[in-house]
Amino acid sequence: MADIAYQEGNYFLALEKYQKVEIRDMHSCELKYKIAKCYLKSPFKVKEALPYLKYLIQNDCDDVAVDYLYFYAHVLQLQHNYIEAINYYNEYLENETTLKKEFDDVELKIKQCENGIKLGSIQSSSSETTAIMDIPINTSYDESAPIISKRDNFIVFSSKRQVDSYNYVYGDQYAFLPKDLESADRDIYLSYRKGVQFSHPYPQFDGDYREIYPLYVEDGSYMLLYIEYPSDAIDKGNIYETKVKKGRWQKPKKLNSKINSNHTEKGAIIANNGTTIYFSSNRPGGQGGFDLYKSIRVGKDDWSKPINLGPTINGPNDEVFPYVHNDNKTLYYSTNGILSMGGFDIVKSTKEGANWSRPKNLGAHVNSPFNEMQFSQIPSKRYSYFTSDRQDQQSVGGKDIYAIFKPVHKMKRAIVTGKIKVLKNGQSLPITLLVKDNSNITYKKYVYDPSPDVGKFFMILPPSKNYSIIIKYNDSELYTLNIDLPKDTYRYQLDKEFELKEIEVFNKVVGYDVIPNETRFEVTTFDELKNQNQEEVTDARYDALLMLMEMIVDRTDKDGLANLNDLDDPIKDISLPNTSNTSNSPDPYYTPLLDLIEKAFNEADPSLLTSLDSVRGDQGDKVVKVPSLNLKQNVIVEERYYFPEKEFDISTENKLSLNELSTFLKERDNIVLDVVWFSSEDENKTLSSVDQLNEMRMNSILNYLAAKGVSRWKYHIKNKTIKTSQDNACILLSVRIK
Amino acid sequence: MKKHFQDISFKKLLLIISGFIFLLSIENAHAQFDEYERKAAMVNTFAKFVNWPTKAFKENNKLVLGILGDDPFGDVIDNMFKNRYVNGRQWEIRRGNSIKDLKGSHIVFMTQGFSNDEIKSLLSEIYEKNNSFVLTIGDNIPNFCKNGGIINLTPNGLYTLNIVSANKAQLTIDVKLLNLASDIIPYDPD
Repeated sequence: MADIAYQEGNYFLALEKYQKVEIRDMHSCELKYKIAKCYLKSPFKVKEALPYLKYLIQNDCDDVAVDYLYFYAHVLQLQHNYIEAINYYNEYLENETTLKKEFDDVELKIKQCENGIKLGSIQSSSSETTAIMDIPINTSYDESAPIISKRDNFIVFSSKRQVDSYNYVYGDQYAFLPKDLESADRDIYLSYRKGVQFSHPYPQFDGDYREIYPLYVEDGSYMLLYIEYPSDAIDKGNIYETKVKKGRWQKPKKLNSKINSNHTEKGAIIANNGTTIYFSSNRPGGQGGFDLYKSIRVGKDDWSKPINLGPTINGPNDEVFPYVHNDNKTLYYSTNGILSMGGFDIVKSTKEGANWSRPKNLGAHVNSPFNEMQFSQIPSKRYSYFTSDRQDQQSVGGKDIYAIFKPVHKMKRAIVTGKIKVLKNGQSLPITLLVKDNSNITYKKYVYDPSPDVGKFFMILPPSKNYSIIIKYNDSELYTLNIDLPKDTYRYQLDKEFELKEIEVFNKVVGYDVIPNETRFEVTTFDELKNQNQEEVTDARYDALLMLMEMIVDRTDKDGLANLNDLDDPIKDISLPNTSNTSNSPDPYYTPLLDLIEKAFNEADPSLLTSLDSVRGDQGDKVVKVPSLNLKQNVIVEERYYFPEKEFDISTENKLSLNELSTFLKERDNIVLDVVWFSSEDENKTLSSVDQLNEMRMNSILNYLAAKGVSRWKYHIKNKTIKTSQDNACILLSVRIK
Repeated sequence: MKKHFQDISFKKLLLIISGFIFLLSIENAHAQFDEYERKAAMVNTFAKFVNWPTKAFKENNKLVLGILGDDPFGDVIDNMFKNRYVNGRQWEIRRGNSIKDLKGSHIVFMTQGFSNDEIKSLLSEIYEKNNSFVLTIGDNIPNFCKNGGIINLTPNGLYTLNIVSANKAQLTIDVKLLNLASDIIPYDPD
């Protein structure tokens, strides 16, 4: 009777009967073998088979199939005891028996054990953690196929729980669920995210299914799903699609025969803006077992002939449940081939040009010797979900849903915000900012210029660096502010206002006076928050910051949005200070401070020391030239004064011009005058009479300027050779910014 | 039992976030570089403008800074001085609560918290030997230079300097250090 129950798959009853008989017949190898085989089918307690299998080994039982060696190795493998497992797999291989060996995948199993050893010894470079999802997402029944929405606001999954029962957990007293607790219900459930938890899940379909699970969900209004109706052959369900209409899912519609073949399909996902479907099928013509295929959408409801993804992805074993990340460059799927450490493992391949890279196992922090499959992920990659039937201290029972959490690396970015305004005649000017660090790297991403009205600016920069913020107006660099972001800064508030006055000489605007007011700034670091017991606040604020970034980027910077995730990825973030840097260079963050102090000593300027608590480079008024002037660098005014032949007296017209120039020069300390007189080229260095006249003309001008109150230190005398006819009988006055 | 899908509107999200930002704004005025970053940088610069006799250095040729008392620098001074050289010499930083702990230091930075008598006794312990070659720097310690210390940092960002104590310690002080001292004490406390 127990044998019949076993053959019918009623392992609960079979185990109960075998154990009753075992009490009377304690030394029966056959009984031990049968009990072990029952436990091997247990969704909760496979490891209970170990003592029975060990008994068979220790007693050299030859009246049962030698497969017990294989089973023993298999259970050891499930317990992560890979070395012992390899030994027993080898023993099974080497055992000479007249009985037929049932299993021919021993070499693959040994290879998988070797993978287990290798992957277990690799420390995960990421700080990802995997944890089982709480009740009521998981129950003692099978939960599988977690498909997370792109915005991480809801999850759909399949559950075999009793629809109308809330008794989900039965503890660990059962090897199999008893008959009265068995559930014939199958449905897809939906649960909304509630903070870090998920709300109570609700069933979405109300039908009679042998199997139903979601494959892909889009915006909560479209779903791909696998359904096996009772009328279908066992394990021969099909892929369906459904849409939401008036808040309800429509009756699922089967995809056409290009996708649903006469064979079996396991997993499908729509990618690339709905244009491509990836799916798994064991149809003939592949690399063996289940293979991954892709097909392109043709018209509204049709698909192109499926293309096998090729031998890099598909092998002689099974490849199932493909998942393509939003970037369309990362493919996750499950395989029970040579990349696995046992059962199905989730692997990842990235697109390199037109080809997929060699897939890699996600590692021991995700996979186990049990089956991991049905992977899904949110676009930021912070949360991923998968199904596993592993049996460990975490597991609730049968298949469970697990979440992988990739923590955000906090304190990596500082918000620099505040107001920078440049006012001209009381009106705010549209200005732009150019941000460079002390390695002269320009920061463009996440640098948002001041708004034209109130001057509010926003930028996200790595801390522990010194930056120059160059304020530009109409291509003129008006001013440079140097700021230092201490490590652990999370906010640097900077407020600065300038007044811009036009400099007018000879009736034209030649430059601007830039007059800064006092700089106001505040640095807030994480340390201060910690001192105030506000760690939680910090977390929340960072979450808010990330959201804020997402919004700002969404509105103004598509490229920035696409790369936002890289902010969390220290590997992709080249701008971050490299903490593992073992080079012999000093921390550049302190270099400006040390340079400034040294400068104070070298120039004997105590004001530099006493003003160390202000913003560096905040050095008062500045003159900026109009960029459109066709003059040499820093020159804002250039005027030629011509004299009649043989005369050196200044004409009345020129005197008026010089008066204006004198007034301009006297008002400012930050400009100088170059007085250029021209002479002919002479190898003997002697002055010709014409040259002497020119020198006298220059002296006339200098005397006139002196009479008008222009100090001697305000000008430099330069002599140049006559190059063109316009240099004849002429004195050139050139005003330049110091 | 079925639940339909819904979205949080953009406006609602914006409202939530601005609420967050408003609630969590914490006002904390700060200097560009904080006090002990500035003081550490001053110590580094002092070392550049003080000349020690060659015999003050051991084989490894390192310039040893000893911090006496409760270290106010944290990891700032380690980060700032790491891989920086003063006249070709690498820094070594030691911390201790007694002169004995800091034996072999070329600079002793005396932190706040010592009494006047303790300062006197610590300074005399440092300078009791003829060949001490130690530049003593006080962290704004009252009467530090009058009690025989060489440099005392003052709250205005400058320092006072006792040139006689420096001479006694056989240290040559560059004129640039004298230029910026807010006060120079020209006498021997003894």
